[in-house]
Amino acid sequence: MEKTPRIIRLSGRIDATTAPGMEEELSSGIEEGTRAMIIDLEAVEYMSSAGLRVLLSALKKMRSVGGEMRLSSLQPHVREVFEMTGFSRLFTICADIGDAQSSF
Amino acid sequence: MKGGEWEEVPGLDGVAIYSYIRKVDIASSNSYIVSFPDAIVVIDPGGLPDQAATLLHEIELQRIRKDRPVLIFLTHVHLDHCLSLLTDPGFRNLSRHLVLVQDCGACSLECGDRKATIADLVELEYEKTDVDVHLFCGHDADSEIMVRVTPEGEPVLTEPNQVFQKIIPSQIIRLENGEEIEVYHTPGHSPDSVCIRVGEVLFCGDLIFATAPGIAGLTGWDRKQLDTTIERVLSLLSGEEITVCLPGHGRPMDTESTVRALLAIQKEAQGLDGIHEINPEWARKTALFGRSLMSEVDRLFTIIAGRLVYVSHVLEELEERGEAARMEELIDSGLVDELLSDFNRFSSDLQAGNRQEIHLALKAGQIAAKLKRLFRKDLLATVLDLSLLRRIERHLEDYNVTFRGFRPLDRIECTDITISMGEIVVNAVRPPYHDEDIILAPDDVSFARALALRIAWVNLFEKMKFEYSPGLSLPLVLMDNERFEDTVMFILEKLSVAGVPCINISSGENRDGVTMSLKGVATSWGPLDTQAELFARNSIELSGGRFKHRSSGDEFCIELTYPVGETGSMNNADAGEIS
Repeated sequence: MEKTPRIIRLSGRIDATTAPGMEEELSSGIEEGTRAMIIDLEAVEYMSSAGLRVLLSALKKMRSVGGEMRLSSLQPHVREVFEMTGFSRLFTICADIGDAQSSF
Repeated sequence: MKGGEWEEVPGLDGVAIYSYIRKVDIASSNSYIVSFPDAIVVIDPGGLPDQAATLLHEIELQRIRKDRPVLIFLTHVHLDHCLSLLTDPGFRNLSRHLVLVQDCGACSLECGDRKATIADLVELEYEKTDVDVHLFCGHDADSEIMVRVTPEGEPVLTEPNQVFQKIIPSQIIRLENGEEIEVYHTPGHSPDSVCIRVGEVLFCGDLIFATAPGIAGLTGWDRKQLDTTIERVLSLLSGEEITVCLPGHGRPMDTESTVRALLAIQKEAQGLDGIHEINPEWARKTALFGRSLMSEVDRLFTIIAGRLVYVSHVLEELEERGEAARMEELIDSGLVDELLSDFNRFSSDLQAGNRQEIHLALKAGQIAAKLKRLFRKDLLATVLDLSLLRRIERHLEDYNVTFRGFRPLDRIECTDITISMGEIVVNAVRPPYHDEDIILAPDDVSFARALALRIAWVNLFEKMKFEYSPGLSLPLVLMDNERFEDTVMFILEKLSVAGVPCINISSGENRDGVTMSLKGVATSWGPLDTQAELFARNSIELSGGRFKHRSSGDEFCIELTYPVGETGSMNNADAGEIS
């Protein structure tokens, strides 16, 4: 099992088209034994509800195996979606990768 | 009729038809080839190279079986029906053919009229093209023209011969063996529109699309002529032996469904007086409006769908699985997501130069109509706050109205802007539920609903302080209050999520009317991005006001100004400061 956090960098638009690929990436990370994960959203310009679902599903999986997850570097649009949907209450959101790493 | 293969023409022995049927779009029309023993008739060659190649191949095969002249008819000269005729080398070099077009359409092709052919709108080029036969030229209506073939195989025409009077202006093109092609002048969609009858088949061009958004209002569109045409075609369908109608776009229709469609169009057309002309300027403005509006619709749908996912998750954690499942069923968020992604791809294509603005305007119209069907406000209102839902409903309707060629509806009334703003400030932080609703819930279902409502409410203004100083004794202003409320909520949401810690709102009178000012200190990425500012500006203008955004260093001031209403009418804002 990994002890140092694994950083997964996502980019572009996360919507109905790209969310399945992201889900696969996150799931395989957890299945491979990652128990501390940072999802870097610095390069994500847009996130739809499909993206939110995938992140929530990954969070549930991570918690079910006793792991932890952080989100970092949210851009204004993505941050707005998190604030307005209530998702900011579910996730630990860090300003940048450094903050996220030191939070474990 | 199936299309894509040769079939018998109903009502005519030994005459076959090949239908090239496309899905409905403005890139190209359907095309039809009718094989008579003495001639091959093409109706609307369409606008795409692949389609032209298929048609030319079928014509060639027919000519191998028996060499005959080709008569090319256009139901009208919009480029989606005739671009291939004007630009495709195969059609331009086709041997022994005649082109037959209604007179004013023919003149438009001959003089290169870009408005009449909608070339200006779809941004396509074509060369001026001569037309062999101007149909309905001068007094030629209700006449007959004979097509004879010379020993060299060249088609020649007789002078029109006045022979009959019908309920609808028509001309008969008679072939040597006596078979006829009857053309009816059916203006409305465009001045040169015609329907064409062969046996029991009526080729009706774009008549059944004449009231479609983005189509009604095209240059040359005429509501009164359309009304007359529909009356006449309805008479034709009731009196003549027509069993199949082949439209310019989409699937074949039987007579019964064509009659139903025409009656619906006739009714719809009655509400289209005063429609905006669909021209390049309209396309540019509508596409811009569509992009801005769809961006906000996208944001709101994402919030709604995301909030339902959030509520469902929390309810599951609380083991309220029934209510959690209900949340997931309130909207098909997967389909909403797909539609919005589809629009985004389209919009990116436009920016990359692969699409024209008219296409984006039409696409936004399609997507808005689909989203409207998916949006069940009554169901969503059981859990989500009404402001969000009302805004989505309004935006979709606004686009629909704009796309239809009208200005979105507003209800400009004398309003006390200071009271209106006071209500916005109070309601922004007031939860839409009462604590007692959970305590007093009579049963499990009511309890779960009350719980869901509570979880679904997100106080967006937890971290933003409001300071509201209404001006005293200000006159009433002319504005659409609901639009004002919705736009101010939009601006406040944007300021809050941008991390603005405190917003100072004040109002005062000036020579332009009454101005409501929202002042604050911006964070690193500014209070409103370009898209949000454009949206706010449009929305404030639709509510009857003017939007101004000033910045100085980190400080910003958003001013919303409305004209004064009735002289002497004063508001009753003597309330003190609300913090």
